[in-house]
Amino acid sequence: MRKPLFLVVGVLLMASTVLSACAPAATPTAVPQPAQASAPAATTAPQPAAKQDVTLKVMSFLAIDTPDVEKQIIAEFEKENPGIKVQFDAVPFGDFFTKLQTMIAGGTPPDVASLNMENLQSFAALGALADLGPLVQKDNYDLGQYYPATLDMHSYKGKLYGLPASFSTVVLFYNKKLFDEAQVPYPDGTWTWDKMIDAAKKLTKDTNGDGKIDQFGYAKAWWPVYLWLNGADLFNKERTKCTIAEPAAVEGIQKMVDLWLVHKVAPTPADLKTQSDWDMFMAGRLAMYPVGPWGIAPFQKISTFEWDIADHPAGKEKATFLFGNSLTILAASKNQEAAWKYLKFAAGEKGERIRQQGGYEIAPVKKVAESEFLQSLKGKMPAHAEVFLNSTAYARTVPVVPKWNEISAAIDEQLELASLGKKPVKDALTDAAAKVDAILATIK
Amino acid sequence: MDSGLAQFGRATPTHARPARCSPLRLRDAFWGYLFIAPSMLGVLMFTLFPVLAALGISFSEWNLITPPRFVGLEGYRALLSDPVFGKVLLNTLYYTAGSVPLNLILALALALALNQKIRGIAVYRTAYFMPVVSSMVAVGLIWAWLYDTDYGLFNALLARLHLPPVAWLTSTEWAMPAVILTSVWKSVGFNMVIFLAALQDVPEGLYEAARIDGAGAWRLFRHITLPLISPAVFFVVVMGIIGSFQAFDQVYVMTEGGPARATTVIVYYIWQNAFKFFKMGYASAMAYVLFLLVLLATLAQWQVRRRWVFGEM
Repeated sequence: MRKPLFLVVGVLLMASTVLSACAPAATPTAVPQPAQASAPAATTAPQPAAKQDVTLKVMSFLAIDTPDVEKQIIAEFEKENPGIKVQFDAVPFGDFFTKLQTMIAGGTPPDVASLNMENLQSFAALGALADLGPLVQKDNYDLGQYYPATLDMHSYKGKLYGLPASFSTVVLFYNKKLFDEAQVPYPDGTWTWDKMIDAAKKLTKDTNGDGKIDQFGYAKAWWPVYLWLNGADLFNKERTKCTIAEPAAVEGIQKMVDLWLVHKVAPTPADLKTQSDWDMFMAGRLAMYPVGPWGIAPFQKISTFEWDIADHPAGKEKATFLFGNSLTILAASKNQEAAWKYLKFAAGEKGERIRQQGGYEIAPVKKVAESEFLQSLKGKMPAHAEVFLNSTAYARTVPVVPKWNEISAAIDEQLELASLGKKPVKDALTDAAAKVDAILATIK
Repeated sequence: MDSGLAQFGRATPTHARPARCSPLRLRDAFWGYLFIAPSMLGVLMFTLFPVLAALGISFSEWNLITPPRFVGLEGYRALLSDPVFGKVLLNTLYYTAGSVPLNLILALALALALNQKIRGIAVYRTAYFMPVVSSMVAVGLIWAWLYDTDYGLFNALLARLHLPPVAWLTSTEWAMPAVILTSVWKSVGFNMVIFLAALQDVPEGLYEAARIDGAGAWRLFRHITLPLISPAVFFVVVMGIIGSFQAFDQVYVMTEGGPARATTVIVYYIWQNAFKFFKMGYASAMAYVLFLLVLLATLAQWQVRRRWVFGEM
């Protein structure tokens, strides 16, 4: 008699523990409606009487290591725009997008958010961002002041959703001391892949003779660059088909995998679990390290060796990454006007001049990059800072598409198998391409 | 014997039924419900409502931002053709098959050892219970260092024995056993306490009687201890299976489901779909499939319990 009741209660408890862990934090009814027709109509009524102060919620991961920079931008902005108060929330990059997503779902999004180009595409595709086109047109805002590539990467289906706030190109950082010790000439813009491998072999050493490698020649960058270096790409032009299983792509990824499996000049994923490539470079255990300008400020604090930068060695083609972050306005924001003012300031010439002092990335405003960025590095490492700007000539953006996280997870799984030597590169990439094609087919 | 075993004997439900609707009873009921109202409200709002909402979401496509779109059983159908889901299910079974028996055997062995009258027994019991109250994140981070290929404790011990190093968390073969081992270490203390409690309820008289009849240590354990603590064993197995179907933290902290999805268990994949791939509907459908699996596993155990759990035959 008592047992059936116990069973029912047990099942319910089980259901609740299993499901509540997975149930979304918010309920479907809490979905914010893109603030269009109804919301402004309701809020405009009481405003004209007394011009109330607007509180602008800004959430950003920009210059997270040098928070004073963003604070100074806000202080200057508030000085120029009395009546607008900025409530600033600095969130580290790693937590940023989950937090933003939850805030949107919970109906309390910020007014302005920083976004990197991949997530800008996702959020724009979901309709979470405001189209900046009409605002630009209304003010005749000069987009010509930006590097064109930085505008392209913050557009989705031909519409601009973010004002470029900072950008990066990836270049080859190298430890001069390790090169001197191994008597290898410093890398320069003429280096090829094979020359790099030769040098890396000489720079990879077991210094204490315990059978473990203590010093590595080169650290692998993110995989898409190895497609480009070999003249391949991720998708076809229309981004409807994945092309990573084509011969040139397979060859390119094979070269990447060979860094571990054949040449043994780069730290393996297991090595990187012990110490990241970043920390290895800081500790003087890594000779060549492809990384962006966010490495400058931290690496300038290194006192045990000197370093410099060069173009990433060329494969069949010259290629490297172009990354970028922007400031966006959330579609659900009720303070579109004030948000746009903030964007124009914080991602305009004045804001960029201040942000450049943080040295996190490079200002996308040409005037600022060519003066402040290079100026701020005069007499400091790296001696060849102009490589960052010159490499924009051949740097590329990863062709981002909606559902990028899902696509990248599918490819990563197969690349891990290939890099562990569990699966030939060709088979791994063929399987990955099939999965990616299936995901692409679900994008409308 | 009678008094000691009364709790295991079959209850004889011969309560007289009181009249249903006497005013006094109604008043009692009113106060009773009032007292449980706060916690019931909590259960309704934070448990039952999300559970039902998730059912609704599982029939729709929802990215958290645009309103959900009803797609019927599409999400469930997609699960069948998702090769990753198949792999993830197998991984979950692997994890369960590895962690539940190991946990059971170790917990029982520890309980038997700590049921002796040894000096400082409380210290030992506390020591084994410590991991249970530690945070899984802290445990996972520390164990990730113990497993480190180059500098980890385990490989240092292997080197002492002149054995080659093992890529504990970075090879597809060893990552899952490593995760299982950590999870067992973390939770074995809890089951140990349950067994200890059960062991202390076994009446000493039974052992005495059996010893007089000439039973050795093994027979005492096999024919007295084990049958009498079988309700505890049943509880540990049922809870262990439910818990291992829901494993998440250890995977999230130690391996992020890798390498090459070797340690992606079902809840990790649900989380990935919901919060990385923006697929709430699909994730909810998967959560319901998980719920059904746990339900089936538990019902099956309820069915066979009559065969081996004492007091149920």
